Amino acid sequence: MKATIIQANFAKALNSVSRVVSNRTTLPVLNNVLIEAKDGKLNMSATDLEIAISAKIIGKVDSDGIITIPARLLSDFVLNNKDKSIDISLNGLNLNLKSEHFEANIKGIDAEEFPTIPASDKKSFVKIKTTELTEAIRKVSFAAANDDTRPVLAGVLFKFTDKELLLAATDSYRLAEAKIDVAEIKEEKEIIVPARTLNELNRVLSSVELDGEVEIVIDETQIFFTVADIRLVSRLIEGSFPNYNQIIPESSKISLSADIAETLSALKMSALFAKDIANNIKLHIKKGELIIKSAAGESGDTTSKINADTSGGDLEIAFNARYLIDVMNILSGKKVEMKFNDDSSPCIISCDKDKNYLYLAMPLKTDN
Amino acid sequence: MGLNMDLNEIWRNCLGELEVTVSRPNFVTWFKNTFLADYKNGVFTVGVPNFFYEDWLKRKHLQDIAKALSKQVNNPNITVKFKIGNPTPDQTVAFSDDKVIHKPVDKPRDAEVSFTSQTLPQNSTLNSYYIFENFVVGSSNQLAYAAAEAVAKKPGDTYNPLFIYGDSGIGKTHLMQAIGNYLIEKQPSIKVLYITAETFINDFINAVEAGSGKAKHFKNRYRSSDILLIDDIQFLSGKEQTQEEFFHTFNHLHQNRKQVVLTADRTPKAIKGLEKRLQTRFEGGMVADMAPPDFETRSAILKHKAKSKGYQISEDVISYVAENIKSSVRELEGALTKIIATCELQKCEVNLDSTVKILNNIIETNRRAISSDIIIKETCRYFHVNEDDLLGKRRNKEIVKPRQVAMYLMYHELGVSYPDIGKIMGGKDHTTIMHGDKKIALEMKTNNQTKEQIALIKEKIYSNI
Repeated sequence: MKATIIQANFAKALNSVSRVVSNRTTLPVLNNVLIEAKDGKLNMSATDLEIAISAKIIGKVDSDGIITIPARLLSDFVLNNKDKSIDISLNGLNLNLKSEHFEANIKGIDAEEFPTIPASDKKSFVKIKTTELTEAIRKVSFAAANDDTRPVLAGVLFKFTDKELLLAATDSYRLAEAKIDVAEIKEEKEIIVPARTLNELNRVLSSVELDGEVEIVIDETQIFFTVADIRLVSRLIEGSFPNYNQIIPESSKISLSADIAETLSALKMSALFAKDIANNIKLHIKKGELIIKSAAGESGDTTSKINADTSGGDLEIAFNARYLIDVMNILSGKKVEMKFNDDSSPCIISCDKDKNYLYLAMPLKTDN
Repeated sequence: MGLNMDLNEIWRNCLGELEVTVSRPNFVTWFKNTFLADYKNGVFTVGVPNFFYEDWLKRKHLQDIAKALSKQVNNPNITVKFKIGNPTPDQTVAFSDDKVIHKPVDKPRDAEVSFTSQTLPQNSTLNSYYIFENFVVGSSNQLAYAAAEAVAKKPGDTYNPLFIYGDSGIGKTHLMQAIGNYLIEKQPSIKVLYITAETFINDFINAVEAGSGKAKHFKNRYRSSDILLIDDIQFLSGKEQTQEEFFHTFNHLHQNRKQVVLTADRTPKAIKGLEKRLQTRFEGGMVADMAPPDFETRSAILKHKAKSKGYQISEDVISYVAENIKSSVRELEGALTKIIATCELQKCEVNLDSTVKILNNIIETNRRAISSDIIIKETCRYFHVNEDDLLGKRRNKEIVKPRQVAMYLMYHELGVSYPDIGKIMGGKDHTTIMHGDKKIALEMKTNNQTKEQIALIKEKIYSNI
């Protein structure tokens, strides 16, 4: 293998793939990135056995070859190298990297030892605008469960219906749902994508130009996202997503509209005092105002008052502050709308500007 | 359930076989979360987490898996297929890194099949070679051996804790594991936990990091053992939090009359950065020391080792090796292995000539590494006398003993002849040297203080290398 690569292009490709390199040490080859030169093209891939990311490296290829190289060391060498271009050449298992001021030989591991990066012969299922997909993921994936005790809850539902893609995630205490309009969908389909995959995807997407499109290919057990020169593959989660529609109340008695920024800062203030009591805070909805209190914890208590348009009467309801702060952080409009029935029914949160987004939080049950 | 249990059993046996042929990292990585989903009409379906695993197992291990499976069902014409999916709880073959080497087998918990239960002895961390029968007893380790045997016969009763200390490579771990192996053989339901102090520390750190759930698991793991064997306890030095946790674990076990056995490279008192309360507890049972083996023991070890390898080795070879390799049993065994391997490779006979040639390197480096200068320097430093006096002619009591010690050390550690030592020591007659050497040699047998002094000076000398 022999090739010449502009340092910036090398660094960019490494940035895209090396995040997924696993930290586990059981199998050394998984700490490596796979570099392959073939048919005049240069590719780099990495995997943690759940997700794989491949990126094309733009460069001049003189001869073919394949090797795996420790990702950390290669990144450190390339990122700290300020020369304009780097020549790489493979001698046995050693990759020689040479630029104007630096030269290094990095010991690699035979590519035979590296897992196969999956490919699919299926045709593109759908194309989605990068901005819209990124936004929907950002608004939904945080609501997924952090652990794997119930595998489907650690994922995000992708439901393709006529001209629409719906994303939903829940950890059984809260639920987030976002919809994206899509021009053309070939068939109705429901899949569950690991939330971790989507968070990785968003990181990758943050480094590419946003006015493009993400191409999605769906296999029986895997999903492929392709954007620009980068492709991300992940397993899908097996199982069926809980039918959450039944817990969304059809009507609500009490409603409230308040400034998002004000609500967020009041929530954060209360949360400060609620750390040692499981983030337990109380919302008092009164005529024309919203009072947020932290129940007395060891550190003391606090009360915040903000103006709000209310209707339907007064209510006292307890929440885990985290569940409200998370959603306020991602709402993009000016006003938040909250709808309640009583102190033991879920609260629906939406935003005046974003009709395609819905969030639902279960209240905390308190004894008094 | 019934069928799944059978499939699990088959898969577990199959994994047991594969574990031997596949390297550990590969095995742990690629066979984790695999299960046997189905077996029908000669077709096995192996469940794997995702594409990566399917591809790898197909590409690299299909033959091995098929072979192992076909052995299990006694059918040479089987087919292996893969399926991506998650196991149901009763299909799980748990892969735990738990070092609990021996769990009671009468109560399998839930439907989970534990990978570390005794059905797979190759997963055990107790080395089955380390049994009392294979331990060569000599004057240097008699006490420790007797104590270990007593503990094995009445665990938690006689000496608790048993604290064994001595230099590395002289058989502390062997004795410790012998206790474990003995007890497992006598009482298959007993829970023996063998770990190094380092593992304990790491486990503790992990448990703290992972939060309360894991911390409880950690506590249970250590506190539920019947016998706790911890190697190299001196590594707890300076680790205050871990010491605190160990203190509670220790107390819990001790109060419940569970046996604790510890090894270290020095006495509890000499472990710097060890809390006083731990030190006194370690000293509360039996503190047994193990010294490097003497010539007779070294010879016996070599004979025993050679015999267990199926070799008959002549007396002169045994004596030569035993005379020249003194520091530890490990080196002794290493030398023997080297001799046997080299002779086998070169197809020559194991005799004195070949031995001298093969060991030339090892012995020469040992010899060359220390010099008479170092012996003189360290002896003077130890006894607080100056070199000129040591090499001089004055005959005060304060100077005679150090002088004789230096002679003794040069003769035994350097192998220099009496006349040559005489020259080095400022032109003394060889009979003077001989007298000095014999005097110390006699004291080594009768006087504990001298024995200790020599050991300390030797330690200093060799730490110079």
